[in-house]
Amino acid sequence: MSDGGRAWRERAVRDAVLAGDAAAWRGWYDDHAPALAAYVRWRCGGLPDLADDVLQETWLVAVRRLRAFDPAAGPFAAWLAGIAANAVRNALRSRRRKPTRPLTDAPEPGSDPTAGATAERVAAALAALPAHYEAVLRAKYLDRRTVDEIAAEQGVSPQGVSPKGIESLLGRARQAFREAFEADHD
Amino acid sequence: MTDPDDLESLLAPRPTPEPRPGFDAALFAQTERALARRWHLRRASRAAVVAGVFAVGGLLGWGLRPVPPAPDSDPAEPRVEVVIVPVVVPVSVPTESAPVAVVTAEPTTAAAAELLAEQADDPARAARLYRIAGDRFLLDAQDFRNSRRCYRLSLARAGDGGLRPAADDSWLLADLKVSLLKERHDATKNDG
Repeated sequence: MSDGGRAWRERAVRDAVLAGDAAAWRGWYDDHAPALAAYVRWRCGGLPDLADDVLQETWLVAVRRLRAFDPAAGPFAAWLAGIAANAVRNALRSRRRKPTRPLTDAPEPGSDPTAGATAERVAAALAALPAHYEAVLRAKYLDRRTVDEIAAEQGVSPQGVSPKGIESLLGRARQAFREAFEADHD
Repeated sequence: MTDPDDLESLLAPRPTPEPRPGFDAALFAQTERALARRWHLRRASRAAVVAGVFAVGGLLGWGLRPVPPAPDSDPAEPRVEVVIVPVVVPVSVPTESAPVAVVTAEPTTAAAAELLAEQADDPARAARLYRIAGDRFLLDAQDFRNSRRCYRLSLARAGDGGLRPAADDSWLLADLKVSLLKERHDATKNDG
């Protein structure tokens, strides 16, 4: 589907949902819920309770601000991901501000007791990254794209990025992640 | 942590958790409720806008309605209209050559003439009307007693000039005048 066709379809669905079409909302939700849930879990370093909170907050914010969604500015999935990224940052700040709440989830029996703390550091490091670093890391590690595939997707844009450029961008993103991860450990 | 494989272990997606239909259904229901609230609010706000437009229109119509003119006077007070009705009134116009006698309606019966004579302020007019009443009693009804009474009242109102004999005096009136003159002459003679 071309970008124009995608924008036209998403605008029609958005208007139907705003007009009170419950079936349109059901279909739209079902189309995007699995991908959004996977993204939120990845952004939360696999912490289930944090992911649930962020997922709930993301959908409720999306419903509240649905009128502000502009299909011409980007796809609905990207709009939801932006809301989720903000929700992750807010949730992490909230968790760290509360002294009574443990910073890590209780480890399951038989699992690594430091896994919860590591997951939270991953989430914090991802939240600290600039958007373009986070996007290339997501394409590489969550969506399991190759460098060539990422370059092809980026090449759709007028700027056009070569695989070598993607490789370089990926290297800088990895380095920024490591620094954020280590900084959070300190 | 310089090896990219370290990041693979950190950033690779975790195994997908067990599906939780309860959580997913509750989350979707929550979004549906939030959307339904927004739909209801939107409909209510639209209805409020429509109602407001109607209310403003009604108020404008009420404010711009034509006002009836205020009554000039108190409506409880009965209105009196003066209507001029032309009435023909005979007016005597004196001329130099021949004076025209005033046309007045003469009573046709003795009783009417006597009544008018009693109400007349002018002695001369009263005398004349009593004279007419006496003539009527005498000529029409041969009522000598009332005729005599009216002649005597006429002569009393007429004064001294009324005792002069006239050509149209009836025999009863002439007799009365003579009698009165004799009485006056005798009274003067006796006084002297």
